[in-house]
Amino acid sequence: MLRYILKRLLMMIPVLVGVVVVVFTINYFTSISPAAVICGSMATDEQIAAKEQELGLDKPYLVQIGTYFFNIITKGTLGDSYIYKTPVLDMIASRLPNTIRIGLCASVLSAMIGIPLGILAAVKQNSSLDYASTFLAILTGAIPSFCLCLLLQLLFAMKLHWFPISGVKTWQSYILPIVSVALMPVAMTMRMTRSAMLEAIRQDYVRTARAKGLPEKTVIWNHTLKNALIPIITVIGMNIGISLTGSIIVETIFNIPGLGFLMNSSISQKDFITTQGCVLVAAFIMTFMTLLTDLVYAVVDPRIKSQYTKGKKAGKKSKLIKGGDAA
Amino acid sequence: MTQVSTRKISVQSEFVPQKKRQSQFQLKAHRFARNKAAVIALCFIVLLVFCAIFADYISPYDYAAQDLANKLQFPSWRHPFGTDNFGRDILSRIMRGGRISLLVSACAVSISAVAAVIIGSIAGFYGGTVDNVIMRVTDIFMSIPGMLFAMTVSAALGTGIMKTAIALGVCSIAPLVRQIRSSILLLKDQEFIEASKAFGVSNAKIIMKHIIPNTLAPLIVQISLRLGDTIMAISGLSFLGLGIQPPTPEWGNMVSAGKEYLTTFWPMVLFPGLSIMLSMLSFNLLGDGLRDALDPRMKR
Amino acid sequence: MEILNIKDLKISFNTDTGVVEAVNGISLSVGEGESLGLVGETGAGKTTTALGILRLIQCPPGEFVKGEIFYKGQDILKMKDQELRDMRGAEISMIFQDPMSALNPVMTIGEQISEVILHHQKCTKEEAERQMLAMLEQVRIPAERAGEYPYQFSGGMKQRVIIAIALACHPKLLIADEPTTALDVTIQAQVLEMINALKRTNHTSMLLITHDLGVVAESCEKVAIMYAGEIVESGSVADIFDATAHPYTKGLFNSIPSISKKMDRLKPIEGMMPDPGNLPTGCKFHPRCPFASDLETCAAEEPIAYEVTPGHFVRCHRCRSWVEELKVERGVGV
Repeated sequence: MLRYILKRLLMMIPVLVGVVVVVFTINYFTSISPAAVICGSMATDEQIAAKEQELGLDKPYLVQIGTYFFNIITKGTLGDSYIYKTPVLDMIASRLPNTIRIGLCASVLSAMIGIPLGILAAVKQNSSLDYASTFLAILTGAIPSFCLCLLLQLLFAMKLHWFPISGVKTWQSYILPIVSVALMPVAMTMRMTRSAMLEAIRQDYVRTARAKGLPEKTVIWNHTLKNALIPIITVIGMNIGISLTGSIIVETIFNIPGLGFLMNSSISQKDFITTQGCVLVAAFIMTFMTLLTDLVYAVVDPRIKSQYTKGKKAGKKSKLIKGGDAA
Repeated sequence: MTQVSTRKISVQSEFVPQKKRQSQFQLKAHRFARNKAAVIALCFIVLLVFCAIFADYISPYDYAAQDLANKLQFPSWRHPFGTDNFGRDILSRIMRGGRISLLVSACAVSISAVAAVIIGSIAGFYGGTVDNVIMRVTDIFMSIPGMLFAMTVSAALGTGIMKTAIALGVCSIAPLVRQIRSSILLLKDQEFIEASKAFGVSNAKIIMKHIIPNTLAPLIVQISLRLGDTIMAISGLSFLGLGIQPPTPEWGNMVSAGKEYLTTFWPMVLFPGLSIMLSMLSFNLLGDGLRDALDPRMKR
Repeated sequence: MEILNIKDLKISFNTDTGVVEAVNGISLSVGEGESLGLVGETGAGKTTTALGILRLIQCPPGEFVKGEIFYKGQDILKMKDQELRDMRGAEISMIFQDPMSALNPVMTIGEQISEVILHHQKCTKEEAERQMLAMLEQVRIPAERAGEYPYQFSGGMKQRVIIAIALACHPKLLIADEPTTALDVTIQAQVLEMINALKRTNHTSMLLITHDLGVVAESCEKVAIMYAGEIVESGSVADIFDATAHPYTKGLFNSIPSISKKMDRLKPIEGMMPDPGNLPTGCKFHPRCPFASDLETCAAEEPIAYEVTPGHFVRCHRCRSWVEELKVERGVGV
């Protein structure tokens, strides 16, 4: 098992290198030079050229990307921001906790609401509760997050004054952002739990459990839910990615200094080296989450665990399982 | 599996003469029609497309005509959705904005679908090293959160209709490749494919008769769901000032413009927001309905 | 004394395409220590009957339209949920058709066996585990494998685990739903022998569901033949095997290849099982019956169970008229 984890951690490296290459290449071939934007519209060509030289943007593609990797490996830095001149890693480190706090709370919240609701809807299939929660899940899944943010802001901050409008001064100011980020994951978790439970509940082994005379509670919790957990875990893992994505809009609207906020402002300021750092950190979190969910699979399902410990075929099989879920 | 189930149905109908034999298509259409939510969603989408195409002829006002004397008007008979901060009719702008949203969404989804079908089929059919390389590359793309990726590409390409479409299209290739590859791999192992091979049916015929019809169903479902997601993503990008720029009306940038007036004037946020929500909802419901109709074993 | 007594049971399913009558007014009884074989083709309603006895049918779409199922004089259909749960697994238990899917893949087999003991006997965990290991030994699975998961076992082994679960609480009645169908021929005999042996030592009654008349001959005293949701013929093994009366039963025997009798060709029953959503009128078997053309009543009137000899019931117009003619002749003769 430990060998499997180590192997997976090593496999993250080429993925992250790939991410850097992809993002770097996209930014390199961008139509607007960052130097021109930084110097402003009044700048002369000489000034822009001088700025480009200062930032190292005049060098060829391979030299630039080579330097970037060299700095990561030898100095452990992601370069300095074009605009603020501070190390990108420091900027991210000071902002990441806010994003993680919101993302984590939102994920926990969505699991705490989505899973019980999904189970309830599946157990009472075709009841009014099932219809109502499914309808609500579909509806909330369709609300654009920025509209939701504005709506919550208007209602709870501007009209009712229950929570601050923006910023991160007190714990109350986190409530509205967390709710806005959590809504979409709640809907997804609920729908996934419901369908996974319905899938598991009509399996033969659930009938066996009933034939044993076990109380319905045991049948649902020990026999059905345990087998429905894999897709539920998958969706919880995916929720982390959704909260990261969602953080961009939510942090911008609620004015929270987090990763998403930094990302958005760096893009609009053409501070590409910062953008690149943000994407790299986000990709790291995503791949790490994928690894974590794969490991949780092994805890839940002995069949998957045995594939991991067998080693060789492990990667392929877990892909297959996930692919099946996606389809 | 679909093949197997239809076979069963046809066997039954031989023994039940009073039941009319139905073609595959009729059967699926019938199943789809029973799903009321999906039918309503389809009607709404048709209406949306109609409005988008004929926006210039049926919209009550010119979408760009400013009337500063009548700005920020609440809904009335003259302006059913009210007017915005420049006195422009919101209904007309939403109709026009729908055209942009649908156009960009359709372009983006076509780009990703075509690319994904080609790449995904290559990965699924050839397997081995080719498959491995393609899968590792999708790993890379899928480890970047979708919206971040779309923003980066969109920032690099610049704003505008075609550029936004390309940015969003490129971003959703990787997950679609996965989908197509896995449905092809699943099919490759199916017994009816092996049976056809054993009967000596040519590869080309197997692809035409079995692989394409059976991968098409999940693809159509995916396309429907993606259309909705992309509409949402466009509006998100535009809201952040990256996608479609004002003065071109787009639902996301309309909300963005309206947020300044949120406390006193809600129609500028509400109506474009509702439009996004309803179209997203319709495409989702349509996708679910299509999935149930085309592939009954996936019914949830 | 009768342990199970089903009277005029009718179970139907309400589907999108209409009402499917899966079980259509069957009556049967199993005595204490007795084994009844329920034989029929796939789709005859055997499994529905079995699940109906334990009330494991999803309602809706399933519906118990009418009838009674008495277990030791108590109507199962009128039981409260709690009574029902106390009965399942402890008094009546079931062996399922497909061992591959009947075990929970994420629980060890030991847990799955001791779970039922723990629940019904209200004993300590240690006691349940001790009984579980004893049970494993009875089905000849080494005790050290108790901590393993179902995917680590072969099909025959899994079926033995299921037998262990079913017999763990020493039930009075065992319902075995095609226990050997999904297994290899070599293992079939083993499993069947094991069920018979355990049944004998525990004095368990059994309802054995199968489509294999050979299996019935080996392990049952009574037989009921089921066709399209009805029991068309029932009686002792001798009645059914030696004095076969119903044309369907005769057809079943004719479709079995035999080594002793010299046969050029098997004679399968013509035609197909009718669609349970669209059953023929009158005798359900008449469209396939080689004798039905003789009598107009076959298509018009539903036959009722007729007692040919004591304990041997047949639902067939033709058999009835034959036997009555015979009786009249004899009456005249005397």
